[in-house]
Amino acid sequence: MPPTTHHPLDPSLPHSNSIEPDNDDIAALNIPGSSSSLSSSNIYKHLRTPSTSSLNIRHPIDLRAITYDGAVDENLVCPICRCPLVDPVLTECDHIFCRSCIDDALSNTKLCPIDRSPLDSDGVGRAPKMVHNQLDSLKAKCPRCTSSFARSMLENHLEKYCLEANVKCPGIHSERYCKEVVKRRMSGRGCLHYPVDCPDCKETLLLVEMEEHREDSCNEKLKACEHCGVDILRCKESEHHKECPDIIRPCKWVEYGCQHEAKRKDLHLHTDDCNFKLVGPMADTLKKEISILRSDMRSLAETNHLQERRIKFLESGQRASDRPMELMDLSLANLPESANTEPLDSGHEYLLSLLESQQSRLSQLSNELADFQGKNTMMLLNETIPIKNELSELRSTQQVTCMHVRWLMRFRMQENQRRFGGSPGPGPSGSPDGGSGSDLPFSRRLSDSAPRDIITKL
Amino acid sequence: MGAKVPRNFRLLEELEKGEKGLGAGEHKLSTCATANYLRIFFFSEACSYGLTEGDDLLMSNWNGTILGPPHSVHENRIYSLTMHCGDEYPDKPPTIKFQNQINLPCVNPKNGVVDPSKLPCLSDWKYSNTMETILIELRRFMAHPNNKKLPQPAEGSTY
Amino acid sequence: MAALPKRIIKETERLAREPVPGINAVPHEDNLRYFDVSIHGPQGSPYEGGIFKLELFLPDDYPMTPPKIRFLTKIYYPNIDKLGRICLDVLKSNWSPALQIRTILLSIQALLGAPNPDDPLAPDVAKRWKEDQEGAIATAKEWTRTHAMT
Repeated sequence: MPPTTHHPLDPSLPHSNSIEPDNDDIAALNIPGSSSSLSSSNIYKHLRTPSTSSLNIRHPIDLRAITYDGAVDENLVCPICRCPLVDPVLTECDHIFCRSCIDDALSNTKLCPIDRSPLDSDGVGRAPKMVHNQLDSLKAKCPRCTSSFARSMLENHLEKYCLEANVKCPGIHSERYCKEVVKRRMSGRGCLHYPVDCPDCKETLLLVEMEEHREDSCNEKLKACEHCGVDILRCKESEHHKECPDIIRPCKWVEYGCQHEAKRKDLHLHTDDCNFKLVGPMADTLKKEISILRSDMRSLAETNHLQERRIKFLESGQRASDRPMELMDLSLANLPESANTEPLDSGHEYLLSLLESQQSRLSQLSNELADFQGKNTMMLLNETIPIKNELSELRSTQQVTCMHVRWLMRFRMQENQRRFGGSPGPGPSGSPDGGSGSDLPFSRRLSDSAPRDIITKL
Repeated sequence: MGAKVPRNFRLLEELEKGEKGLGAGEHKLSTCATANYLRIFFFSEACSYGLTEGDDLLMSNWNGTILGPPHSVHENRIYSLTMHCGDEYPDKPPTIKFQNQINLPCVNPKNGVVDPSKLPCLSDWKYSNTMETILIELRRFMAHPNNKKLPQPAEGSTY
Repeated sequence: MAALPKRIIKETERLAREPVPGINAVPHEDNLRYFDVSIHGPQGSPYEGGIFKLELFLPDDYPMTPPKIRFLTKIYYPNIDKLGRICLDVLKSNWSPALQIRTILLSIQALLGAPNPDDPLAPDVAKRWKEDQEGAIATAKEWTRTHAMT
């Protein structure tokens, strides 16, 4: 797939910022084998068309019924069916037959049909690969379009390519769910299985049959040409007009001003008398020259444009050389594959323009990055400040509660000490939590749970 | 439908089928009346048929015999008849003629010719019908309740 | 009628394109399995000079079963009966699907040149052939003159 040499100028390739990211994707879809100059609209169209392969129908072929090209080598002909072998097998006694033929024969008598030596189905094995290959490469005519193919390719040809072979009607995908079949050459026109009236005989037929009807069976298919009077097919009228000898045609120099008109068959008489017979060819040559010059100019303009860009790039070369190497590598990795196959000379130019575009993109990216960073910091700050406030608030509330508890505890302890004044081992009054946890008998005696609850909570 | 068997090979098939009863292995071709009688007496076959002349390459003229069906006036009688297969056989039925006199609705009392319109297997002739079909149907026709008691001419009288 | 097998078409074409010397086989227009055949009596045999008509029919399961063949011309021959049926092993038990119309007709032509009175289809002819060969050959020549030369 050698791309054209002015590939770098192809507008569908990503060499400037103005290209939308969408188109980059499409360009990346340019697989080897497809023309790289495909416009993006074409690619879209291709992608949208439903795969026609789903309409294919298998066409099993009777290899004995097809017509082979020329005479087939007698050694490749089955002695039983007299056709080129189909699924050949080799017997113990070294004779070759079609598998189905020898099976049939052995079901009648267990003898080799050629030498009458005893034989049964165990004595029959697949014929050598070479025989299969020779048979597969035999050329045979397609039963539909009559062009010749290797016989092993015929089924594939009929299933996928033959224009005269039937495929499922494309209407099978529509809501009509048409189940008819149609010739492949007509399948591109959507479902044709609906009735229409023949414009000539008014008979109602399916559209798919109309073409054949108008050419063959229509009673009104012929009409006399109004110019020459010969009977012509109505449906081929416009084709006939292109060659009808009696139709009035202008002189071939009409575009340079000749007013003469005559029947097509008489026009040649005029050519010698025509006033433009000398000017005409000259004008033609000039026209050709002009078009050549125009195209030359266009290509020069393109070269000019390219060079201007190179100059611009070289001027900003200082900045470019400051860039770290790895960024260059990155931009190279992003190139569409087709750039690798570019011829060397234009490759340089192409790389330069790419470098340029990548640089401007990079600077744009770093700008965006800084912006983004600023935004992020602001957002973070905005969110964290209220959290901090709340946190300090909570802390102060907690301290207040602690104070309250301590005060209450102390108050309670003093009360207890007063009530059971002589009881042994009361905890140190200063530390309420330490004493209550370890002193079990004391806590058990506390029948009401309120103080204990306070202790465990702490 | 398979291959259409031509007249002559079809008649050869019928001939071979008719000969089968006559002892296999022998190359016995001519089928004379005596042989037919023998078959009927000794092998109790209801019907038999064979070529009138063993060297008739066109195989047009055939003899048939029918043993009269039991429990009818025809019991123990042997009817002999001739069958003529034209060029268009088996597309068209053969013409049948009784040799022995018989009183049967489908048989012309003057000359013994069977009226094809009055015997279903002849009027509705099918390609697959054979002379054997005709003989068996004639015998069934004799045994039909309408026909089995019809008064018959003296035994042995011929047209 | 079912489509004619390719093999029969090919055999017919080849018989017309490269006819066997002394043998002619043409299918009927209305039945392509039914052939009118004529065979020239082989040289040096009592049948020399005669043209013998035969009919040949390819049954449904041909070539798995042999073709049916019959002489239409009267012939004095120990292995052919009064109805023209032929006693030839390859037409019966020794049939092979690899045989063809042309090979079978060649065998029949060869058979005319080599009568085999030990495996007769016409016992009376065979008996005479054994007992009075000269007389039998004379009769064969006479029959050839009367039936096969008109």
